[in-house]
Amino acid sequence: MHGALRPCRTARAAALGLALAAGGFAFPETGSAKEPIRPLPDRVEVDGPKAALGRLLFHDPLLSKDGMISCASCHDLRSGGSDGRRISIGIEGREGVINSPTVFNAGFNFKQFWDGRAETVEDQIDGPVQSPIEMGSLWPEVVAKLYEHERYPGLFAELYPDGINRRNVKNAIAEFVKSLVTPNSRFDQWLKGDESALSDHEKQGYALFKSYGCVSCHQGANVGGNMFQVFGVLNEYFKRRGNITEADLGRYNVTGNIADRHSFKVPSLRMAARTPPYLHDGSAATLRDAVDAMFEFQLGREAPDEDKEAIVAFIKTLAGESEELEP
Amino acid sequence: MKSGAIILGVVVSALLLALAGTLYVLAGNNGEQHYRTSISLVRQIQQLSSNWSIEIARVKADPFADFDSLAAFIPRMALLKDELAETGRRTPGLPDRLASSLNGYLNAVETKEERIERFKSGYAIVRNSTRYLPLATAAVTQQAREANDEDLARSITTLARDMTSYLATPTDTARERLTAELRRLREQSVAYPVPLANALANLSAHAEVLLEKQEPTERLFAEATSSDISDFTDRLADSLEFELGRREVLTTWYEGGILGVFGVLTLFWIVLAFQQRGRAAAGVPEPVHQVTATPGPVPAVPASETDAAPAPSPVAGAPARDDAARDALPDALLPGLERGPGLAATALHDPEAVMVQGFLTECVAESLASSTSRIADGMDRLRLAQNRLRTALRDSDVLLELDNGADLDEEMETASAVSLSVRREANTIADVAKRLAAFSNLPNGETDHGMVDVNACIEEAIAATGAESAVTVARKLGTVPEIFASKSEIRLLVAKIIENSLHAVEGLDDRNGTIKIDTARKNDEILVTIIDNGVGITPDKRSKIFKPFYTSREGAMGLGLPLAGHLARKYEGGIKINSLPGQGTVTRITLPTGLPEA
Repeated sequence: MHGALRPCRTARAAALGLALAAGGFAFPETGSAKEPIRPLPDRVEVDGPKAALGRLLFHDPLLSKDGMISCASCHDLRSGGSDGRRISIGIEGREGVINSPTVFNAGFNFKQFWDGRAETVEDQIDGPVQSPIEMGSLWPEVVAKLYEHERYPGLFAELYPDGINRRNVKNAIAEFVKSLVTPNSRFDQWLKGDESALSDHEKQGYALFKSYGCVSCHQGANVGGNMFQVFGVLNEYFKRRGNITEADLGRYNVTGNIADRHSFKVPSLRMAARTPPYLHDGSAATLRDAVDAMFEFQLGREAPDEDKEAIVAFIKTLAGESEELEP
Repeated sequence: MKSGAIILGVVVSALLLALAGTLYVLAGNNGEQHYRTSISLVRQIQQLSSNWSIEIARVKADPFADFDSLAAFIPRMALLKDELAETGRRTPGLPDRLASSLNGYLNAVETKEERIERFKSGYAIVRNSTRYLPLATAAVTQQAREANDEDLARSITTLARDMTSYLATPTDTARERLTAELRRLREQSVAYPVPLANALANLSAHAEVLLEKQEPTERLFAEATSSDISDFTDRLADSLEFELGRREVLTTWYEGGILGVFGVLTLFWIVLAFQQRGRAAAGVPEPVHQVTATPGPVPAVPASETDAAPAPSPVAGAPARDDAARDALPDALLPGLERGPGLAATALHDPEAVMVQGFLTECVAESLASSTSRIADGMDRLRLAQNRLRTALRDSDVLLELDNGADLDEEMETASAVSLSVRREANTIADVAKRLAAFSNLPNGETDHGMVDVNACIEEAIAATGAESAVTVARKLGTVPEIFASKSEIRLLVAKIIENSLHAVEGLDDRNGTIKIDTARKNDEILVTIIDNGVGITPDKRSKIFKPFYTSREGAMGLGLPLAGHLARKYEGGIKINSLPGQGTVTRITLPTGLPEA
């Protein structure tokens, strides 16, 4: 690999001495000057009034069977869009089967849920609302409760000609969720040309993130969330962890294809800094734990601690701003 | 227009409009728009799918490309799939075959999407290993050199070169050789110190990933980008187009049907209007019985509109006219009319029948006039005879005169003959009236049909015409078989010819008129020859003599010979007339015997 042929960002990595020339290899890594990660848009076009109604619904425990759980119970916006638990708790204290992902930037995910069984945010809403271990409701019950509410009938009537129904409730919530974007992260500022936005350590972390190959899957504006990948590509994670659950089968539960076993949606790293624990089973308590697991099972590589810490430092620069977030 | 017609019109219009409405609903519910939407959606899905494939190829060629552009296809495709599924559900009468094709198509699209995802996953790993391999190679080479293990360094360099050429053109032999070499390296690595051993293990792992997944990734790429759904798209679109074409034809028929119904409706009202106007002008009552042909409207017809006749019949539409006809016809005709309105109506309406009936009526009138003339003539002679008798009685002693005897006998004989003649003419009038009824082909129970002696008829005809009192009648009546006929008709036939001869003879100055009548059997016919020495018929008149109302005599109606001709034809016989003007006429009547030739 010849330095002159490498793009500037990659040259940065070369300068760090991690990419040593390997004469005979001519990989198609030349010719592209663009970064595999792009900044998030500053704003997303949504229907403001509907999103506002959706915000009310998102925080309203009325949607759950016992009136105790709202969307925000497991997707606490102030703390980063998830609940900080390994496994979420639904109605009547029922334990879920999987770690709650953040709702921030969920609109940029190519599919919803860890196994991607919903293709839109709207369709995703059916899942938690109706799951007996999450909110445990049936849509007719929800619609009936909303009709009896003192505010909702009027609010819906203003925005939806056909009033309160399942489709409109989902639409309002989805409008709100799509509005949950975290733009203007320090990394995005750096991407847009502000060299001072990142420290050298963080820049080094990004270079390592690319050179170790993390970026193969965590790429795009959402730094993930646009593809599936088998968990345990280079080492078998589940064999080591044991006690395999149905949720561990991942995408296989959707497609029934053996090749999709243990395949999950690659999660977005945008809000990773604020949404521990990590991985679908919540087994990684800290970001560093998650990075360790990734190196072992996905990259099949060893890396020095300082490299991993640099990568963690880089990941923390991905979280942007939102008025819903506590500073 | 009367209320009955309006009710009929409204009911028929309502039925037709209901039919048109049904057709309109059928045409509107034919689902053509759904098929067009489906076809459009299928084409859009195909377009999106092939754009997706193009984007995959672009991403594959660019190692720095992110997958956002590929992910962006998913919501767009989801929208199209949902719309197609929804359109399929909403299409009225979607054939099962097409419904399952649509489902199969949606499955195929999803399969393609899964293949795209599988390619992305596989490609990400290969891309990662491809990026890492030179780094790992460099690291191991450096560590090997640091450890002064030039053999390892050389073998890693060789491995790297071989991997490069393998990745450029993967072959089975190269893969086998490389797999073996990697296994050897892995086994060898255990002997090295930990950092070098781990570096070697990682290098081997990534090289193995490339060996294992490089080719599967290419296969996944081929599967994801192949035009597997384009064939399916074409087949489905063709099926949808075919069904759409069928529906369009159906709709055209429905629309044509609607136009047809309105056309029929318009015609119906025009006909109804004209009919009403025509009836109003003719003073004919409405054909209320026709209403009974349409089920339903019957109760709508007011009772006052119906005729007394309980059972409607096709021609019962002219009851009033029947009444008028009844008044105009002789009583003898009534039984026939009462029994068979159809035939009576035919006689009334059929122009040919009317002509025949008119002809016969004229014949009856002529016959009556002729007979009346005979009666009047006879009565004149009777009066004359009486006058002579009275004069004879005045000029002489009654008793003496009566004793004279001869003249008295002559006058008395004349009176007796005239009385007889009057009586026979009266009989003739009755016969003709009966025949007129019989001629309508209605059995009226009283006909004089039977075996008829033609010679006897001739005698009666001679007597009826009073020929012997005016001219010399020479008979030469041969033996002829009896024929089945009406005696009065045969008598009339002969009488008409004799009358004609009498008139011809009357024109003679010398008053030496002679009529010669022969009968003979000739083969299967009876031949009646009537010869007079009268004035004859001039050639210019000869062609006209059988035409009705042609006559050379004042006060005659000109139906004698036509009636004779008519009667002769009725018995499948004929009349031939040969005449020399100033010398006389020969009339030959032939009547078939109905017997084999003698």
